[in-house]
Amino acid sequence: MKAEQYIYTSFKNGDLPDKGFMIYSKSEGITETECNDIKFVMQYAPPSDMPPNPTEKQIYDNFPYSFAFFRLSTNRLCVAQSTYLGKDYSGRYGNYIIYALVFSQNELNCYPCDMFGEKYIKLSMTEEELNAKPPIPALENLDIETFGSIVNDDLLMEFISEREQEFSYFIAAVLRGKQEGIPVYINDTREHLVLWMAALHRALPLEMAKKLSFNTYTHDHKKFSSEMSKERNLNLLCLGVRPDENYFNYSNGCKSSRQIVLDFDMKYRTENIPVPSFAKAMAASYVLGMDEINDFIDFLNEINFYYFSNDLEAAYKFFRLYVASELSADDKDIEDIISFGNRYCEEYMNSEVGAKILDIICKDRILDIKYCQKTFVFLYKYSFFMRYSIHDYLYKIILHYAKEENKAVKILDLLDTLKNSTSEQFWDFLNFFFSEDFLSQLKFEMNGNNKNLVLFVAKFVLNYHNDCQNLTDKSAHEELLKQTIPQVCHLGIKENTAIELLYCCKDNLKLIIKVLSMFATHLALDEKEKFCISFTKYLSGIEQELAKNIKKNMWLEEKTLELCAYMSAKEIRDSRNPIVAFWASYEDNFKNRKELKNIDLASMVEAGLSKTNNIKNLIKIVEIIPEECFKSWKYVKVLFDKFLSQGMKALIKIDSPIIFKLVKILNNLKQDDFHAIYAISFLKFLQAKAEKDGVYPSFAKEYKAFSKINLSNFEKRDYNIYLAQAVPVFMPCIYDEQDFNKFVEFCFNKEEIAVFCLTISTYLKKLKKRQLKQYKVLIDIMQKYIRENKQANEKTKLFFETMRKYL
Amino acid sequence: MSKYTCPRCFEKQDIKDVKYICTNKSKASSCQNAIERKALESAHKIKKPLCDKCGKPLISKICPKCGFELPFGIESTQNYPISIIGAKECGKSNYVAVLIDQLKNNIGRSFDCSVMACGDSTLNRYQKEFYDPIYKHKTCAGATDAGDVEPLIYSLLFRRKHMFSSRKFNDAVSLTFFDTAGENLTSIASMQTHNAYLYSSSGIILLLDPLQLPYVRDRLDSKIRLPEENTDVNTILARTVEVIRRGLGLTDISKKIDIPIAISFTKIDAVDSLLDPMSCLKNDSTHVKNGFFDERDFNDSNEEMQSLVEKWLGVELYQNVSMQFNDFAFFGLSALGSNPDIDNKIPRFRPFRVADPFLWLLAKKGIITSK
Repeated sequence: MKAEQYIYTSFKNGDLPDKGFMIYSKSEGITETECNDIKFVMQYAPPSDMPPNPTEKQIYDNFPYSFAFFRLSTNRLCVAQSTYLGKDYSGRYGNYIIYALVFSQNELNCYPCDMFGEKYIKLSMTEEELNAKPPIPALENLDIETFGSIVNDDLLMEFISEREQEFSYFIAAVLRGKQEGIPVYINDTREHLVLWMAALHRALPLEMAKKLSFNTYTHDHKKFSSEMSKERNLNLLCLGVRPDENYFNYSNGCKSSRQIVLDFDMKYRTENIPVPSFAKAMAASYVLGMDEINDFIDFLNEINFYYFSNDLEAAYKFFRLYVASELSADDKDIEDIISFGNRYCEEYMNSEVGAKILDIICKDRILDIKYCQKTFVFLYKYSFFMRYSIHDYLYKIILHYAKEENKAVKILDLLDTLKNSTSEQFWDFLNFFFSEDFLSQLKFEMNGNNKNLVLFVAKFVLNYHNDCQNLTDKSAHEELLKQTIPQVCHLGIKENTAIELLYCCKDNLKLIIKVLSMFATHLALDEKEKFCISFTKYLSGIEQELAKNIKKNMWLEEKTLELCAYMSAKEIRDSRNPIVAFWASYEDNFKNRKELKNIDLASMVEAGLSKTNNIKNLIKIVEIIPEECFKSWKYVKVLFDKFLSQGMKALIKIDSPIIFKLVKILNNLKQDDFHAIYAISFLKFLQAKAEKDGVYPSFAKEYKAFSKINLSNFEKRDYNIYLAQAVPVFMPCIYDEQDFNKFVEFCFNKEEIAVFCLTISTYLKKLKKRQLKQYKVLIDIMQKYIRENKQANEKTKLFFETMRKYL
Repeated sequence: MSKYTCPRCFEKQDIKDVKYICTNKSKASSCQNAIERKALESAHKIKKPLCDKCGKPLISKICPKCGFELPFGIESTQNYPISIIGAKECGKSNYVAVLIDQLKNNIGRSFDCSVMACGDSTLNRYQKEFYDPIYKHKTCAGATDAGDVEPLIYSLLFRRKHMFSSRKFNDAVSLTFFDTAGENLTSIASMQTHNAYLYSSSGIILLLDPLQLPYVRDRLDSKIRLPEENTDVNTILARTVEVIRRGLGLTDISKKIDIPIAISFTKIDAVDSLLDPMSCLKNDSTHVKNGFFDERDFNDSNEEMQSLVEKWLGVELYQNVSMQFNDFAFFGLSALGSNPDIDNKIPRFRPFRVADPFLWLLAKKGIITSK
């Protein structure tokens, strides 16, 4: 091992005028930049608590060692020691010597601290050297053969065995310092400081240790945090800083984040640094004979991992799993191991570690969802020889998490990642997924009607529809699709979710239309309409060409026609003249469709009528649109409300077929609140029957079908108009007191009883003049009715008392 | 917006750009910002900024460029960097140690001014490297290591009478002392690296050791312990001139340098036997006693020193100085008052005329009155 040498001290320099601190001599290969670097790091001033005029013995016994290892800005390595000498040639105090050895990166093949105390480390100048006449010849390159005679494994084991916990904390502190780019200040006896650094280095591969710089004593720690030191890369990681008030206050310093401090003497330290298991293991290994340290170093050397970073912890976990099949219960560890393996380890190592991970997780744990992605990619990539176990475990994970709404999404992400990063393996998994055994298990699970699971399966089936076209058993996929989408619809589906499903179809037009057909068939009426609102947004969000094709195909497809109606309703409503737009749309798209009767056009109708109340428009719609197309009551109600708003006079004038059709619509939708329509239809019905049969039907007999109707809630004006038209029709239908009873029951309106009686009386008076016989029969029936029912109910009593006034 | 000059890096900056550090380091609840000495910006440049952690007012300003803790009232403070240079072993550190102590005591009393160290660095370094060895341990200051020099920065506060009232007010100047190592003057390259501040100086005190002069050495040989021979006086002066001219871009040789230079011979006590028995250099100056810069005393000592220089060195030094500098003067002083023994112990500590060059520079700048 060859090194170049450097000596700096205060020198008389013969008779030359330039005296004082200077490079006494150096090997020729050391550059000026390197000289400046060495001087910068190794400058020595004694601590303020040392005597100002110390004797040689005091210096020897007490003055701190400034033993350092660092990388020069030329990237070469330097092992150096500064030693206080006391007086210089002029008799003034403050003199010291820097002795430095400069190595090329590969030349240094022992730990720096192994050279501490070796004879070739120059700690003083001889009289002869100091009195030598300039020019001093350049120093030869030094051939180093001995090291470790003072600092060696035995000494370190003895040292650390009494300080196991402190050492693990020290490693953690240095790691933190390295990660955060801040220095670690340590204080202990001058010998211990060297041993702390030696132990830290020895626990690492040499190449890694070469990245950890230190100086066991500096009188000016601040300069190592200066911009200049950073620019020259001389901001050393570990610094021996004396806890002298003038220099550094450890009690305050341990609270600061500008540095990490460890005062082994006074026990001040930066708290709350988590100690990684790697650090604990290295400390323990010193106690147990350093076997694990050596094994771990071998492992790191094998994978050429020389970064002193938090990855060391992952490296250690990987190492433990690799060599000892040890894995903690923490899922995060798996992720760390995988990340580490991916970045640094050979394929054969990852393969083995993957198999071990699989063994462990399959036994007793469900991996946290957030670690699944990396784990499965790793397992598929490196341990595919255990494919069935991996598939099986993935299946288990899917079934576990797909039942939870938030996690189901992550499972889909996981599958996407697997597809993208390990496509062949994923294809293999799809075959496995759609195999008979697993499919039956899945269907069994789906029977539990877990909405999230069913939705997940739907998305899965749609997502990988294209991939599944090449499956060994393609029909299994098709079958699952047919089962899942209807199940999703029946379980109740939010419109956004339905749109998500469409997005899963990507740009597969055929599949989109297929899914839309299923929605049209299986969604409840109100859900269909909500879906269409979202669907319109979906169409505007996708590629125009695709949207156009979807629309085109929807018009062609029988099952999706209804969805088209909902979507047309919006366009009609937004148009300038909705009723014209309605008829145009109807004529163009619906009129001649054989499946028209299965389609709900109510929303279109409502939209068409949104800006009109014209009775002609209302009548035309009822006349032309098939009654089966009025399905959604909330829109049909609008139509009926518009009819009612026309008033009784206008309604009564409407032709019977229209009225009868309105009643049919109401009956279809099981609505019996619209008494006015029903009452008019009853009137029209009796009229029509009388016209058809040539004789008036019995009121009581026909009334049975309309028994739910009554006129009790009619407004006075409507009541008047209606009775004026109805009594001349109803009275001829009264053949006995039973008829009369039903007649009174139907027409009774407590508030307007006078109107009722007056209308009857007026009719009877006219009848008396025209048909006396008929008049007498009716009077007779009335008397009989009153006589029999006088005491029976309040209605008759009130009718009698009022009628008496008019008769 | 007012500007200020950082006494450490000499950068001229807007006062609105300064940063602050929290100084709340009370034992009960120290502020984390104060512990970390975190540079804080004043939100919206408000006049009385508060610490974002502890809410206490931020009163300590720092230079945004070099992080130096600026003297209080920096915006209204004039900055006067003073460079103290000289060859190896000429007694620079001893001189700085005694000068600053005198500033704190005698000069402060006489000139109604007080001196305050700016920042812990100056305070600690002065105490450890300058004050303790001389005043506490009665030994010489240790050899200064070569390399970059961390300056000692002080704030000098004068109590002045108001022009129109009987009230007194404070007038502040900031002083930056650069005590460079002798090695830093051994080559022009080294001077340019380590003494770049020279051209930013308001005044230069060039310390020369008479015991280095062959004339003196010949006459004192075997009478006292002589130091090793060092860099030639004229060589140091020539290098200083070159560094300043380069720094200022003053290439026209006919133009003189505007920075006043005090050519000061130290260790005058050691050459006592070579002085005229009636020499004014044997006694302390009258400036401090009088409370103003006594021009008569100055002229006496200046003339005597000039004639001594001519006798000891010939006319070369005077010629060199007068050709290069507009303002220059010669001084003789002793920082220790006696020659240290072999263990660097000071047998009789009696400094004299130490402040003369410094007071001359202050008078030149009009900071103190001269009569």
